[in-house]
Amino acid sequence: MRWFWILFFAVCPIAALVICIIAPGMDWWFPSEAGSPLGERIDSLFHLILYIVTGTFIGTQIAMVFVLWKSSKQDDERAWFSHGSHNLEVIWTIVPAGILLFIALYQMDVWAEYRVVSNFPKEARRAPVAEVMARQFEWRIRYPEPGRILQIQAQPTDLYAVNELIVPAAKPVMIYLKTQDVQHSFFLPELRVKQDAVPGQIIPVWFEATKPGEYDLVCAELCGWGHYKMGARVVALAEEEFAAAMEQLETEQSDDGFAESGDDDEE
Amino acid sequence: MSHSTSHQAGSNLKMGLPIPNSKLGMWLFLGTEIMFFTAFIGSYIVLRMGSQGWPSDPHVTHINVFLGGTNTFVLIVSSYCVVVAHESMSKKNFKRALKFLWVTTCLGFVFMGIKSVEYYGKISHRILPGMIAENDWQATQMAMDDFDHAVEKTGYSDMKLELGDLQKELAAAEEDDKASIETRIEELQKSIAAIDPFANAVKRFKAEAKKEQMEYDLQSGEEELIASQVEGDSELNFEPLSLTGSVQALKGKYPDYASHVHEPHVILYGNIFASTYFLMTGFHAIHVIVGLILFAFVLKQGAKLDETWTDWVENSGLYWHFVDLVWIFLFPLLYIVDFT
Amino acid sequence: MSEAHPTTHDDAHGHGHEQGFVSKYIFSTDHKVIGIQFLVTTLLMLMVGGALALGVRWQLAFPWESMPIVGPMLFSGDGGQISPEFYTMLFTMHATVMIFLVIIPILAGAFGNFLIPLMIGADDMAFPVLNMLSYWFMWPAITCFFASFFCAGNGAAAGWTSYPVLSAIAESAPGSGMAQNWWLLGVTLVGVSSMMGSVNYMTTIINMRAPGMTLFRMPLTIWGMFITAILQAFALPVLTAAGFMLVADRLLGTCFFIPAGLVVNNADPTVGGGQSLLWQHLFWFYSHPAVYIMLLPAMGMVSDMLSAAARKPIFGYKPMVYSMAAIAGLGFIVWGHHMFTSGMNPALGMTFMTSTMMIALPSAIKTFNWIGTIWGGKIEFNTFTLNSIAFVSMFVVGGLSGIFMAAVPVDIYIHDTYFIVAHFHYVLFGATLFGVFGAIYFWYPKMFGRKMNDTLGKWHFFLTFLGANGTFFPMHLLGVAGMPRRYANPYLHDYLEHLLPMNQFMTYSAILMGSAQFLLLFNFAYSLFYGEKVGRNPWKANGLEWTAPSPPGHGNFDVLPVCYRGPYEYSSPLVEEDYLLQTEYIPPEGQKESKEEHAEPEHA
Ligand code: HEA
Ligand code: HEA
Ligand code: CUA
Ligand SMILES: [Cu+2]
Repeated sequence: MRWFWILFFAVCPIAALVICIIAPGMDWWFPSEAGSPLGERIDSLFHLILYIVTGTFIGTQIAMVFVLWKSSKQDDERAWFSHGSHNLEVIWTIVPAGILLFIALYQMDVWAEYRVVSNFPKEARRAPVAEVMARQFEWRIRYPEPGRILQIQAQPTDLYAVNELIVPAAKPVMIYLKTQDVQHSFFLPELRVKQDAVPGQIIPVWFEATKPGEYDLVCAELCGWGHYKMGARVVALAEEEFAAAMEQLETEQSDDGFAESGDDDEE
Repeated sequence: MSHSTSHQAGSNLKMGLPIPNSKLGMWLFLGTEIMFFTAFIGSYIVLRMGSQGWPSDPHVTHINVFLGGTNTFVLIVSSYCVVVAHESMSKKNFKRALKFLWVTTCLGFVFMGIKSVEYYGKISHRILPGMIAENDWQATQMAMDDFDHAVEKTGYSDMKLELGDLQKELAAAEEDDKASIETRIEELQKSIAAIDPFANAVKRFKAEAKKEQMEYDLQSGEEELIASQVEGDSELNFEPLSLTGSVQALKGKYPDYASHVHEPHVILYGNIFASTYFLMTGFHAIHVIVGLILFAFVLKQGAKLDETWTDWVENSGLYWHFVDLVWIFLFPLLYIVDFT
Repeated sequence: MSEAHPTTHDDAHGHGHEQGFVSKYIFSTDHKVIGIQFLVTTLLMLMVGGALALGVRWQLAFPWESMPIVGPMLFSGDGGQISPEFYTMLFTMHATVMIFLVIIPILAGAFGNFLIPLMIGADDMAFPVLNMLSYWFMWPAITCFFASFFCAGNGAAAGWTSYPVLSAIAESAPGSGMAQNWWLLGVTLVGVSSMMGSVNYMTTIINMRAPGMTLFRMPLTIWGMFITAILQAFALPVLTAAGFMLVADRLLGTCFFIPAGLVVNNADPTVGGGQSLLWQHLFWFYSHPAVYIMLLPAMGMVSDMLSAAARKPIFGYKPMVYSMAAIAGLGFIVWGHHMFTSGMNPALGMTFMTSTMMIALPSAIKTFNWIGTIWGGKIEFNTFTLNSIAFVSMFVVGGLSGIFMAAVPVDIYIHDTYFIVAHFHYVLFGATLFGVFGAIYFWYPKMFGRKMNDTLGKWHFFLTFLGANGTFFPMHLLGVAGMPRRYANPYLHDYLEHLLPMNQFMTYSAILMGSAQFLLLFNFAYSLFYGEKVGRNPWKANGLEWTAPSPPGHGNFDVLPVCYRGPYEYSSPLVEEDYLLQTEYIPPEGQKESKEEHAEPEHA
C-alpha cells in the first residue's frame, strides 16, 4: 500500500500539469487571442504568474512526495527529533516574499494605466462613444448624434440601440457604463475587459479593439434569473465604416416614423 | 451572562488572567458590540460623505441639540451612579448600592423619555425612512395618498357600499322590515351628503395633482441627479411644489376630515438621513433597554441583595458604560458635526 | 480572584444525580455532547448542500433536461426542468448551506466544542449554558434557511453574497417573495450562534487552561480555534449589522443600499440616497475573514494530525503560530480584493492587492512547515494521514490560484468566472473538508471509544480525492475560457458552446464524489456499534485529550491534568516510546537538553 499512496500523490499533480499543457491545443484555453492591448498585457501577466505558480506547485508536490517516500520507509530507525530550523524558516519566508513582492510591483502599472481615470487616453476621454445602460436583462446603448459629444443627460438628438454596441476599431474608445436597476457587469471576454455597472453610478470604461470584428458582450454579475442570457455584441468597425454605421443609424431612427425624436423607448 | 462561573472550583490552579470568566466574557462581548456599532457608524459616515447633500436645518430635520445634549448628560450621570453602586457592593453596603442603582435606572428611563419626545417630533412630521418625498413627483403622490386616506377614514366608501346593499335589500324586503331599513338609508344618505363636498374636493384635487405629476419629467429628474453627481455640482433646485396652496386650502376648508393630511414637503436626501438616524439611535435605544432589564434583576432583590450579586452589578455596569460610550459617539455625529 | 459567584443555575454537571435523556442528550450543557450534536447536524447538512450542488451540476451538464427522479417531483409543471430562477436559488442555497451550516459550524461548533476543553485540560467550557444556546440557535437559523428554500417553494436568489440592489428590492427577483428576508434572518441567527460560541471559546482558552498549559504549549488546533474565535468575534458583528440594514431596506423603507432613481422591473423609481457598494464593503469585511475562519481550525487540526502521523515534532511550532496570527491580522485588511472590478478607487485596489499578496506569505510558511514535519518522520498511511496530506496538497492548489486573482489586472479578466469557483472549492472542499474528514477519523475514537473502519475510510478518501479533482480542476480551464459563474445555461453564448463535454465530465466526477460520501456516513454509523474498541490513546499521541477516557465522562479527566511540555514531543530521546504525553512528568535527572520544559504553573 505504501507505494500505491506515494504514486497516488505523485500522479495527481502530474496529471494536472499535463492537462494544463494540452489545454490550449484542446481549445480549453482563452476564448481567443487577446483582442486588445490590455488583453495582451493581461495574458502575458497571466502566463508569467502561471509559470511562477506552476514552478511552486511542482516544487511543493515533489518535496511532498519525496518526504513521504523517505519517511514511510519500513525500518526501525526512529523519527528525526527536530523542532525545526531557524535558517530554513528564514529562507522560505524571504524567497516567497521576494517573489510575491515582484508580482505585486510588476503588475501595478498595467492596473494604473487602465483604471486610473487620469491615465485614460486623451482622445478616448474627450469623446465617449456611447452610454451603455444595463438593465434586466439587456444592454441599452445611447450614442450622440454624429458630430456631437455625448452628454450625461439624454439629448433629443441621441441615437439608440439595444444589445449591439458599435465602436471604431484600432483606437481607444470610452463608454459611460451605468445601470437602470440592479448591478450588472460589462464583460468582453475576447478583449479581457470587465467592469461592474453599479446602481447610482456612472463609470467610465475604456478599451480598444485592435482588429475590426464582432465580440461577445456578456454580463458577469448576478442580476436575477436572466443573468445567463444577458448577452450582446460589440461590433468594432474600421473608422469609415463606423462613421457610415452611425449615419445609417441616424437615418433609420429619424425616418421610420415611430421614434422620430430619438425618444427612448421606455414604455 | 454572569452566572455559569461555578466551574472555577480549583481555578487558582489554572492558568489565565486573574479575573473571573464572567467579567472576561463581558469584555469580549463588548468587543463584539463595539464592532457592531462601528459598522453602523462607519456606514453612516460613508453614506453621509458620499451623499451630495444632507438635510441639516433643524427646522426641517427636527434634530434638537438641546435634548440630545441633555440625554448625554443624563447618561454620563447614570454611568457615574453605576460606578458608585458597584463600589458600594464591594463594600457590602447594599442599601447604598440599591439606591444608586435606582437612580441609574431612573436616569435610564429619563433618557428613554427624552428619546421618545424626539422620536415623536420626527414621526409627527413624517420624518421616517421611506416616507419622505425627495422630489415633486413623490410629494404629489404622497399628498394624494394622504387625501385618499382621509376620505377612507370618514367611512365614505363603506357607507356608499352599505347604502347600495340596503337599497337592493329594500326592494326584496318584507313590509314589516321596510321601515327600519328606510330609516337606516336615510341616516346613511345624510352622512354621505355631509362628506360629499369633501370627497368631491379631493377628487378635483387629485385630478389637478395627476396633471402636475404628468408634467413632472421623472426621467429628467433622475438624470439631473446623476448629472449633478458626475459633475460634482450640488446645487439641485427643485421647483417649489405648486400644489402646496391647494392642500392648505383644502385643509383649511375641511378641518374635521383633513387635519391629519401632511402638507407636501420636499426634503432632499431626507430618506437616507432618516434611515441612518433611526438605525443608530434605535439600536442604541435597544441597548439601553437591555441594560435596564439587567438592572431590574438586581432591583428585584430589594433587601435580599447580597454579595453574590457583586459580579452581576459590575458586569452590567460595564455594559452600561459601553452604552454610554456609544451615545457619546453618536451624539456629536448625529447632532453636531457638519461633514462639509 | 475566585470569590463566590452567583450560582443561581443548577450546575448541569452536578455530580451524582441522575440525568434524564433530554438533559443528557438534547439540552445538554456538556461540551462533548454539544460538539457531537454539531457534528451530526453539520454532516447531515453536508448531504443537503451536496445534493443542491448536484442539482447545479445537473443543469450545467444537461441544460434544461428533466432531472432524473427528483425533477418530475419538484417541477412537474415545467416537465421536470430546472427553471433559471430555480438555478439561482440552487447555488445560493448550496453556498449558504455549505458555508453557514456546514463548514463554519463543523469547525468551530463541532471540533471547537469537543476539543477545546479536552485539549487545554478544562472540565468544560466557561459558559456551558451559553454553549448549549449556541447549538440551539442553529436550529432557528436552519429553519429560516429552509423556510426560505423548501417551504415557500422559492428561495433567496441573490447568491450567497447577496449584493443589493438585487437583494434589497423585492421586485428585482420576483420569484423570491419573502425568501430573501428569511435568508437574512437565518444569517443573523447563525451569526448570533457563532458569536456566542466565539466569546465562549476565547474565555475558555484564556482562562481555563490546565496548570502548566502556557500559551506556547497549546496544540495548534487550539491556536487555530482561538484565532478563529477572535476573527469571528470582531468580524461577524459587521455582517450582522449589515444584515439588519438590508432587512430594513426590504421591510422598513430605509435606503442604505438603494440609490435614488432606479427603475426596477417597471416599478416606480426608487427614493433613496444609499450606496450599493457599501454592502459589498461590509459583507466582505466579514466574509473575507470568514474564509480564514473556514480554514484556520482545519490548519490547526491538520498540524496535530501530521505531527502524530509522522511521529515527529511539528516543524517550527512558533512560526506556525505566528503565521496563523498573521493570516488573521492581514485577513482584516484584504476584503477589497473581491471588489477589484466594482469601480472602487483604483488606488484602493492597489492597496488591497498588496495586502492580498502578503497574506500568501504566512500560508507559504505553513505549507513548508507541514512538509518539514513529514520530513524525516516515520509515517504510516492511515486514513487521517491521507486526508491531512490531501489537505496540504489541495490547499497549495487553491492558494496558488488565489495569486492569479490577487493580481489585479488578471482579476479583471477572471473575476466572476469559474476560475474563482475553482479557487474556492479547492480551498473550501479541497483543503478544509479534507482536514475535517481527517479530523473525524482521528478524533472519532475519543468521541465514541471506537475506531472507524480503516479500509472503508481509505476508499472514501480515494474516491473523494479523485472526484473532487475531477470536478474542480477543470473549473480553472472553464474560467480561463471566460465562462462566467452563476450562469444557468452558458452554452447560449457561442464562445462557450464547446465547453459542454467538459462540464459533463465534471458532473460525472461530482456524482462520484457525492456517492463516496455515503461511505463516510455508513462508516460513521457502522463504527458506532461495530468499530474496533480502543483505549485512551489509540494513535499514541501526546495531547491532553488522550489522557482522558474514551469517551470522556463528566468533567473529562479523572484527575486535573498538569501539563509539563508542548504537545509535539514525538520520538523524544528522553523516553523509550516514540511519544511523550504532555502530562508525563520526567524528573530533572532524566532531563537532558531543554531547561524550559519543566512546568512551572504560572500562578502556583
Ligand atoms: C478557505 C477559504 C479560502 C482561502 C484560504 C482563500 C485564500 C486566498 N484567496 Fe480566496 N476566496 C474564497 C475562499 C478562500 N480563499 C472564496 C469563498 C472566494 C469567493 C467568494 C465569492 O465570490 O463567492 C474567494 C475569492 C478570492 C478572491 C476574489 C476573486 C474575485 O472574485 O475576483 C481573491 C482575490 O484576490 C482571493 C485571493 C485569495 C488569496 C491570495 C488567498 C491566500 O490566502 C492563499 C495563500 C496560499 C498559497 C499562496 C499557497 C501556499 C503557498 C506556497 C506554496 C508558497 C509559495 C507561493 C508563492 C511564491 C506564490 N480569493
Ligand atoms: C464549503 C463550501 C462548499 C462545498 C463543500 C461545495 C461543494 C460542491 N460545490 Fe460548491 N459552492 C460554494 C461552496 C461549496 N461548494 C460556494 C460558496 C459557491 C458560490 C455560490 C454563489 O455563487 O453564490 C459554490 C458554487 C458552486 C458552483 C457554481 C455555481 C454557479 O456559479 O453557477 C458549482 C458548480 O459546479 C458548485 C459545485 C459543487 C460541487 C459539485 C460540490 C461537491 O463537493 C459536493 C459533493 C457532494 C456531497 C458532499 C454530498 C453527497 C450527498 C449525496 C449525493 C446524497 C444526497 C442525499 C440526501 C440529501 C439524502 N458549487
Ligand atoms: Cu446582468 Cu447579470
Ligand atoms: Cu477574500
